[in-house]
Amino acid sequence: MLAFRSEGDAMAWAAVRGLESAAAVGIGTLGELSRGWYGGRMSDDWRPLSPAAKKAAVRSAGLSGEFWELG
Amino acid sequence: MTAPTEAFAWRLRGHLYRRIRDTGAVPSRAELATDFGGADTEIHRALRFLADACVLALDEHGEVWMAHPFSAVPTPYRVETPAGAYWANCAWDAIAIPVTLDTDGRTSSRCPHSGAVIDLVVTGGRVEPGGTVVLLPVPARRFWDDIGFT
Repeated sequence: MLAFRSEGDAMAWAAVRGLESAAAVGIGTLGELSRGWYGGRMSDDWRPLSPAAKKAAVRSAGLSGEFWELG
Repeated sequence: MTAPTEAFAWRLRGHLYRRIRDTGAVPSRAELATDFGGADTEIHRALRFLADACVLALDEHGEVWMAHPFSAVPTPYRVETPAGAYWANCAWDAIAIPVTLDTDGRTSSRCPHSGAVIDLVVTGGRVEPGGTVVLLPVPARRFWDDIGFT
């Protein structure tokens, strides 16, 4: 996962490489997602997020759609 | 894996993350065996358990390669924080490291398309500069299909 100056740059780079399933996500949104996805990881009590908790973290960051379906 | 062995693995995970936080480096299996205690086979089995649980990624020698969001090896994303400096696995993890450590952080990289310098700054949980994006190459359900590529 690489950082790009803009969504246009990211999608142009992806197109050249045939990454048809790729998505560009704003860093503010990823910051929000990180809080739910990575929060608490330094605690001894941390355990992997349940599928429901992952879905909640995704929703809480304002992300949705097929790309974010977790199976 | 038996319950006591699983418990050992989770305690090892906690030790591993504290060690990374405090030293900025991902320890080797031998270092874990010395610092945490335990035979190499026991450490190796515990790390494999954690890798199977998608908590870690191991290299071909069974050493920790990724302890998300931290990387054992240099990458384009070096995160500077008041707590120390760390290698992130990717751009998302460069944001996630300050979040994980509950601190601020800064990472300088270059846009792979334009070559422009990007200074990712996390301050109080806010990430800048606006307009910057991270390219996620595969959908979320496929993140762990090939974690190195992702």
